Amino acid sequence: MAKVCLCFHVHQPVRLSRFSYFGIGSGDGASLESRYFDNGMNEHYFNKAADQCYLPTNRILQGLLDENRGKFRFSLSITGTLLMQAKKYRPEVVESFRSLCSTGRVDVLDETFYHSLSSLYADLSEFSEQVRMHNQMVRDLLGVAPQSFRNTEAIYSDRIAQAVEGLGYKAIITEGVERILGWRSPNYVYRPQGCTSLRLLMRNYKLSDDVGFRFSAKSWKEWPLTADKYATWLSATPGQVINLFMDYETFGEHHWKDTGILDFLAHLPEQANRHENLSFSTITEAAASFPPCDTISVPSEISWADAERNTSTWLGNRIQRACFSELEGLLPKLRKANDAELWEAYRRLQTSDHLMYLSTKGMSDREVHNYFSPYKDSGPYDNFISFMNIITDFKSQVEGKIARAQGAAQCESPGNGDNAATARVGQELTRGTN
Amino acid sequence: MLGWEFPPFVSGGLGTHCFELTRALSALGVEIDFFMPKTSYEIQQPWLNVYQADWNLLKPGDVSLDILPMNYSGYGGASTQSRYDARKLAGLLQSPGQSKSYDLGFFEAVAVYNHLAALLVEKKHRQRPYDVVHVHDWISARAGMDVTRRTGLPLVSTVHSTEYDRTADLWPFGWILGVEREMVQNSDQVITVSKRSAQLLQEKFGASRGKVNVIYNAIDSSKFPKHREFLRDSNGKKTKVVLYHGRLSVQKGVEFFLRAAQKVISKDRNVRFLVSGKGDLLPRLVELAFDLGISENVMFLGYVSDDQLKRILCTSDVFVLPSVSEPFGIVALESMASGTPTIVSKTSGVGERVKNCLKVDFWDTDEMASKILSILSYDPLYEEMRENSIAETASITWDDVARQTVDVYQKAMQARVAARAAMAMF
Repeated sequence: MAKVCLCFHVHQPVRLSRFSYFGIGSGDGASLESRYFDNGMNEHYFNKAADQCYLPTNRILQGLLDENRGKFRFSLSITGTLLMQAKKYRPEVVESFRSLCSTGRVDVLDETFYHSLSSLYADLSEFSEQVRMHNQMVRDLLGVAPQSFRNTEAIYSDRIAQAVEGLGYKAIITEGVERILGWRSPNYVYRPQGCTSLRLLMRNYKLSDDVGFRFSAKSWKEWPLTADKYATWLSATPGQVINLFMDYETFGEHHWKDTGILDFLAHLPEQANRHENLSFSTITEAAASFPPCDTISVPSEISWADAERNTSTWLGNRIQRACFSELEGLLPKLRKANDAELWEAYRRLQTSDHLMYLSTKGMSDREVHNYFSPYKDSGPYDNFISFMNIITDFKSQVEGKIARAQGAAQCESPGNGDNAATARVGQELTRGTN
Repeated sequence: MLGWEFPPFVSGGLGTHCFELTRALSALGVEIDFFMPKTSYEIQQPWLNVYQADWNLLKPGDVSLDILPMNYSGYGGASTQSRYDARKLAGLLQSPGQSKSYDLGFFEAVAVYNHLAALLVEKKHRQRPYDVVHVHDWISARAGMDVTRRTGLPLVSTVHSTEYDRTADLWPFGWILGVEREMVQNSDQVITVSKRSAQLLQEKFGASRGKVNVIYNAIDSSKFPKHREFLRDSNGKKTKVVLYHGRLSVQKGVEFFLRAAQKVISKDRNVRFLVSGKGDLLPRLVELAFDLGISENVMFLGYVSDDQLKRILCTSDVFVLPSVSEPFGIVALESMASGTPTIVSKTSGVGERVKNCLKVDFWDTDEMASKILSILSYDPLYEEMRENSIAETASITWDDVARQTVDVYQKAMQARVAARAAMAMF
């Protein structure tokens, strides 16, 4: 009897503005939100995804949950940046997700609120904080408490698994990468190296991509893929858990409605339930159903992205690593400045999508990246320039804030300066206010 | 193949193009006779025969010379210029066998060359038949049209640039436009160097879509050194260098380069802008640099040889091609092959071919300056662009150009066969 775990990745980044070199340090009191983020573009993309995917697909899933009673269940992996924008632009999207969750048959996974790469920082406290923020958001908006975890883009290593266990989660899911699995199958429950209670599920990428990537490819020999045929494949798959993890926008965005993708989804539960050896399950339930059959060790990070299945999608070249390390390096300064607006901007800048748009990988991957990039006319170098200009401006904002705070402290206790430059700024500010 | 120049006799990019193209074509088994005007150089290469059009190559009776002056209708009909050319030619043609150098005006020289070349090609064709006649730009178009009309050979023409591009569409020379239009319309197949140029041929010259082939230029990357050299000021401090190289004409957008320079200098005084090349705009540009208050940071280098350019590229941190209208812009491939991060205008054809450069609107000098400053400020960007530019240009080879060119020859030959078959039915 195999458990079928459907899991949907639902995400929108808060996209950045185009930011000129001449914009650096020219803030003049405008909000960081309005300077760094292109809200017009964000609203446009959100509305498009809401109308083509979120609302129609949620409607189908709601129907399936209602019709099939206990016999249909699935998991959702929704990012904080998506929920935040849904709340702002289309509250009915939040409502429809909440309604799915209220059936009790939908499991929501936790992750970093900002879909960030903070799990790769040397200091994991920022990662923990972003996970806590996500957990809070899901409880507030969707009314459920996540118990399982999936990291940004399924990025995973032993270190990350151990951190996630430390945060109290029961299960984690990552990509069923062959170089890690070796002869083993992704269709079993595993134990992460160095963990005692956390359970590890592996995504079955072949069956997931049959729907996610190949569904509408007419050159594919299995085209057209029907729910009936797919259910037969699932039934013939050996193992205990079949983890089908796909981008939610598979339904209506990547494959348009007229490809039949929504009908496929609408008929899948009925067709799968015809097979006696199949039953639907959430990630959390499936992980609890079977004892781990082996320990899996992943010393360096894997992910579900590109052919390499590692972090090269975001950190593959110098310009990506430069932005990443600039941001990581800012963390102590953010703590020092301790300002809500700065924290919020800082965290939005950490969203992994911004780094993906800087990828310079070879043709086939680049096509995938271009498809997802909102900046159609510009390549990775333009995106880097804009992003690095924002980071540089942001850095000066943070430093300015710290200097002002120290200046204020100076005023309260003159003669206590430990830094001549700060003292000077402080004096100038004092002069300015007098 | 009919051209205008061939190394070592080179005045523009056309000579280099013909050199690289014929070499690669020959490697594919294409035999080439190359015709060009008489020069004082000995030009011979193992992969082709070069014929410098010279009266001495013709003997009376080789071709029926007498019909030519009568039938010769000049360039574009009734202009004074063309009547003058016809008279002059008639005079010249009366004295074949007598050595003549082209001590004539430019347009006359072109006219004489074309008539001579047509006669020579026809003569050679009778000795050993050709399959295709290939001409480059308007400058050798007339010969190609004449000889293919007389022999029935298929005509392929390559348009490297048009009069619209060379003049940025400001006062184009109608007479040259006439030759270009006629060439495009009379060719069985047309090759051009970018999509934007193909579009122009369709819009302005009425070329049918099926006839125009885009074949981008290539580069022999191994000819460009990839090490770095540094320019230092009197204190030994490294100076950042931004380069323009090309003709100093309106088409090239050098003015926008200087306006962007001013904006860069307002943020960073330690940047030198090099303007390399000559042209009629030089006095105006010098004046503009003065008016913008950036004379100290701008150096006008004047004429720069190929070898000097290679060294200057090694010294440059950024190369900018700000052209208002550029069918291709091969110099951008050269800068990338040397590892210099390159910015090209969106109105340059080369931008369609390469990925690892930055693109700007030529008029958007704020954006141009922002991009220059970013490359100068962010080392990872410089390094990433440098490495990828070198890698990308290494894969843009003349062998590919030659393969595509052979495909076009075949299309042209098939079109002629089909046309002949259709004629035979009547």
